[in-house]
Amino acid sequence: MDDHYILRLVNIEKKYGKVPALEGINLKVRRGDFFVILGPSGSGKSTLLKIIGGLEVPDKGEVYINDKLMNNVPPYRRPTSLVFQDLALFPHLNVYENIAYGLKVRKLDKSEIHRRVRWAAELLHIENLLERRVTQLSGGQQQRVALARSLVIEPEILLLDEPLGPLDLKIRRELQVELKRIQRQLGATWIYVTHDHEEAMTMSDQVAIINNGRLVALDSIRNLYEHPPTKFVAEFLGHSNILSAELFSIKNNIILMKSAGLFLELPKRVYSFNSNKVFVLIRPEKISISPSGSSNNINHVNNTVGEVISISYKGVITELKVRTAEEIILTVFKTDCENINVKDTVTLSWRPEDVVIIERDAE
Amino acid sequence: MRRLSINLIYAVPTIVYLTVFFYVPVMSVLILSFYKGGVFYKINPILTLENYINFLTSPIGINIFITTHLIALTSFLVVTLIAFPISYFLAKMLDENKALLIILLMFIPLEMNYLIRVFAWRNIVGETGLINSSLLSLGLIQRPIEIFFHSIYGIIIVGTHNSLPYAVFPLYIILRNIPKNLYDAAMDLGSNKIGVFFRVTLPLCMPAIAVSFLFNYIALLGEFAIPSLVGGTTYMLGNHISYNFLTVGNWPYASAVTVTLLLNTIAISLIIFKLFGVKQLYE
Repeated sequence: MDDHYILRLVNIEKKYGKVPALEGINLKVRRGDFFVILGPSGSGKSTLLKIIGGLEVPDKGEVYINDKLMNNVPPYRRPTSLVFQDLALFPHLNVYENIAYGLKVRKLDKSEIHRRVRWAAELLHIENLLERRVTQLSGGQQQRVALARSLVIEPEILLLDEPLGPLDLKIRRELQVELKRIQRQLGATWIYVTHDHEEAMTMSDQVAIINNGRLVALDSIRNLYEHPPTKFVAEFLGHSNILSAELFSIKNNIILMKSAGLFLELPKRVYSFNSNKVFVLIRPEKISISPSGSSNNINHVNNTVGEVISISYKGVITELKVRTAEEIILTVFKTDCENINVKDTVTLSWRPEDVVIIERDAE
Repeated sequence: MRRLSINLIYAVPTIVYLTVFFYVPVMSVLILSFYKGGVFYKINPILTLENYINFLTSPIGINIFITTHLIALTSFLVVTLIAFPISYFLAKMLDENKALLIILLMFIPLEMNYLIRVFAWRNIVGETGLINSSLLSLGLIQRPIEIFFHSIYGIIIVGTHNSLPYAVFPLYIILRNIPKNLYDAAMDLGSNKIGVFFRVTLPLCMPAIAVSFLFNYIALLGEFAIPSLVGGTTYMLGNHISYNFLTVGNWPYASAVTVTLLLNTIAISLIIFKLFGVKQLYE
């Protein structure tokens, strides 16, 4: 029944000296998924990737690939291939020889090696660089070579360790889209480590979020963004207004929360309140802002008035900080706000369904 | 124009140095090698190829030529085989300070006078040297083993010792600078540990091996002190040259052998440097 899971990690633990790098990681990856492991730097995500590839040995726990225990299988016999963070291209080989490395080791015959190197080179649009030395390539080109070198041996699981990290934004965006296209085209399972939540949003089918060596969330990026299970996840996936709040009342399928004088009303969902004290999250882009004037319908339920304390223009959006009458500072994103200036009084409001409760115990 | 003349001023010391200490001696040897010579310092300024023909066609000349290359090759292979594990140990098992200290300690004996060092080796490998006397007193052998002294092996042992630090140092630097990720990548792509060595470690170390080749193989080609002191009847190109210069007094013939050796050295060095990718060192 676990047939559609290509990879299972059971209770993985790893320590460096006395410092725990990974603790109790349980994870399943579906075959054919673009699976993103997301976490801040130093969270242990690269270590996890090396454990899957066999380059690091876990202290405890099991790695199963295709339901076969892999703990004692060396990296050169695993159906995985890792694209390294610093690429680790062989400096003594040219582009062609780098890509052909895994095929030569497998002792394929020359014409087959040639055919497959060309296939990978064309897939990544580097077919006219094959004779170059790797030191002569740009960062983006080196990236493509590293990827081709791993893809050419047709691993069942491709592991990518922040492969786009050092590239500039424009090339990164291009490659993100291209990587996703290649993954779809090949239908292989890719596990992609990054600290950039926007990368996860562009590419992922499933996302595992890791923090301090622990798995803190596993879901689709959309679910994680819309209903973050913990405050950490909410903060990690983009800007957020997180307020401490107390449960005020539940009636007629409506929950009423109170946070420093501000009332928030939201439709009832399945929340198991372990405590009356929780966090509420309102994403900045879900708050609508208007110049004050029609302030007569302010009742401090899902709306409030406040004073604009800063406006920063960020291209597509403008970020405003507003100090509300309840002395809460809310961040608001707006696409067009030419008629709002600092120190203006504004009205803020949001829809009930945009208020999300995050339980404190889930931390 | 002005810039050019300033650059020329910078070049003057080098040009003077090379002219006085390199081009003039080499040119005089080169010219001498085409003169007709004879024993007892007879030099006849008639241009001839006789000296080269004599050297390259005589059985003795060819024999010495081959012996010299065989000794150099053996010593070079031994040095490389010994230097690899030492450098690997220094680069991978020790921290940088300890490793550099050990390399320094390897170099210090080389600061000692060359002849004294060779004599010191006689105390170890000679007829009554350390090895023979301990083997004798242990009763393991009845007579001193002769291969340790006055033989071709003595030359190889001393030659190896002389150039070992020069082999260890560049190998150590390269091994230390190979990122661990390259080994990991090779393993990830399907190489086992032996495969990683032959496909990644060794090719990357070739420039260092070329440098050690320069200090060992090339140095031994012109060697004459080691064979005279510990080589017994073994006769190398260096001995052949010094014998003809100093004892026989046939300077033109000795010069022809010298020029042959020089061309031979340059050709081998160029081939090895090209083949072993020394360019990588400064890329």
